[in-house]
Amino acid sequence: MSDERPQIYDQNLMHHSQNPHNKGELPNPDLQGSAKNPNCGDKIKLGLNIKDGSIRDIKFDGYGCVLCIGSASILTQLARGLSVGDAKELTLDDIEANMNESGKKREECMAVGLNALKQALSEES
Amino acid sequence: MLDVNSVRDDFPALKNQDLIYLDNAATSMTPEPVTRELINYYHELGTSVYRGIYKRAEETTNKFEYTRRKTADFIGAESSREIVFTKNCTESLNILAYSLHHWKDRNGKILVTEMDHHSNILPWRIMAESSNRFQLEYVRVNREGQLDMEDLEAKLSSNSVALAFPAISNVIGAYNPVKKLTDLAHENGALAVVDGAQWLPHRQFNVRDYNVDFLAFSAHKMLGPTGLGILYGKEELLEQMPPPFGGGEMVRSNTKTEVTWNEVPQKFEAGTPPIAQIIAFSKTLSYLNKLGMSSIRKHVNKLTAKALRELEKIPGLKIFGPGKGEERGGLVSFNLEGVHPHDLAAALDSLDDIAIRAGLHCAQPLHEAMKLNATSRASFYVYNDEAEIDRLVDAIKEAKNVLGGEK
Repeated sequence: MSDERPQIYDQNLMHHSQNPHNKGELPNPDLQGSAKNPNCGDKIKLGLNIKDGSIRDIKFDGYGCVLCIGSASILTQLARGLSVGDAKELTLDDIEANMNESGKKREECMAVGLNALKQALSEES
Repeated sequence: MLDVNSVRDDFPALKNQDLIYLDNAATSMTPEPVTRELINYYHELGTSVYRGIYKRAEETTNKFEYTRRKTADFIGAESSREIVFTKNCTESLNILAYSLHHWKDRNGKILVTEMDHHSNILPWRIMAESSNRFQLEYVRVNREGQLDMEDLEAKLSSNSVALAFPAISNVIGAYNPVKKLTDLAHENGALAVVDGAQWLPHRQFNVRDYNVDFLAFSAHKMLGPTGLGILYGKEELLEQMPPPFGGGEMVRSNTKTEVTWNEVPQKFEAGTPPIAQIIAFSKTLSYLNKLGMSSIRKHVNKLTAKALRELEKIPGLKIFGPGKGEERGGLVSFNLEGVHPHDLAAALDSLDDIAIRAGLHCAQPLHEAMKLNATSRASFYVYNDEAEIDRLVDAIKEAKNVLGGEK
């Protein structure tokens, strides 16, 4: 093995996965969504409070790899305060904008939180 | 004993490469005599089988049928008429399920096991859900991943059509007692269907000794080319089964009013087959025979035993599957506390170019039965050596530090 430790994942993402933001359960969510990664069974549940058409609070919980949990954490930060319409437009690119070029990226792992958000918002106009 | 260094020289994708390839249960590498034969077909033959009234086509047909005879010999079949060439092991099982579905005098229960790969569950599920003549039932697996024989005996009955099971689990490496299961199926009038995908690469399988009715396996897991699977079936059963696909080669005569199917096994091989792969597969079988199936088995057992011994020493690492001292297929599945299998696999790749598998391994019912989310799996073959296992162990320890698993 070489002396220099190779980087596996983006450092910001690692930080988010080790210290996830907005993790937990909202007591009275207005909207809820959940999604799974079919490759490994990872699961994210997400709850939202909506006020005046905007996301006032958002929390997620679940089990997953660094990419799954880290991306969900970044996503909740991005979504908080957005209008429902704008939150619906969030994509993997928005999450990746918070990561460096280096490090492994597996789209299906990074998309679990996003898919849970889309599901939660799907009924909301 | 295998001389791994000289074996490794036969594999262009591994020769002089740093890659430590431990995902052999998914697919194996291909030795040079096999890839050379693939090219030889395209460069020197290039013709189709059976129909050509010219020397080149006859030569292709001869080589093609030679592989069929060699495959029959390899698994101890009575005749090459019992060897059907398919696309892969999955297609072999699908062909079987489809044919049984249309086999009018068979109705009742189809038993699969919770440890089956999806490829030996879903064809039967599709069959059962598309007709009220069949009911799908799962034979339970205990928390250790062994087949629950009591549950099997309770569920097998005179109205069971088939018992489908893996010879070796692709997740935990558990060996199933093939002969015992086959005898139990037969005592109840059921057909014994064996998924041999994980067995055939390492160990001799004799269809007559085990008295199985059907055996499915893939060439690409046993040093052969991709795009080729085998379905073995007892000749008298294949004779009775209707063909799953219509097309060229599977029909003897086809007028607007009458149709006569071709003989077995051609009845099951509609359209132009994977000729190059089939011809090259004979070189695969020669290569395996040259190494010797018993040497391969010993080598893989030795590596698996070492992996079990060394992995067990890593704090927080839990190994799944058969207990100590029990023989298992050439694979070890495990989890490292506090580290997700995907992250572990990603770390091993980054840290030391080690390729392992992580996820559900196309076997969700088994993960459910064993209450697992996902697992990591290292699987071994002829070109792996003990030094690679040492590097695997070192890299797992390193990954734990990098990813912040429990110290």
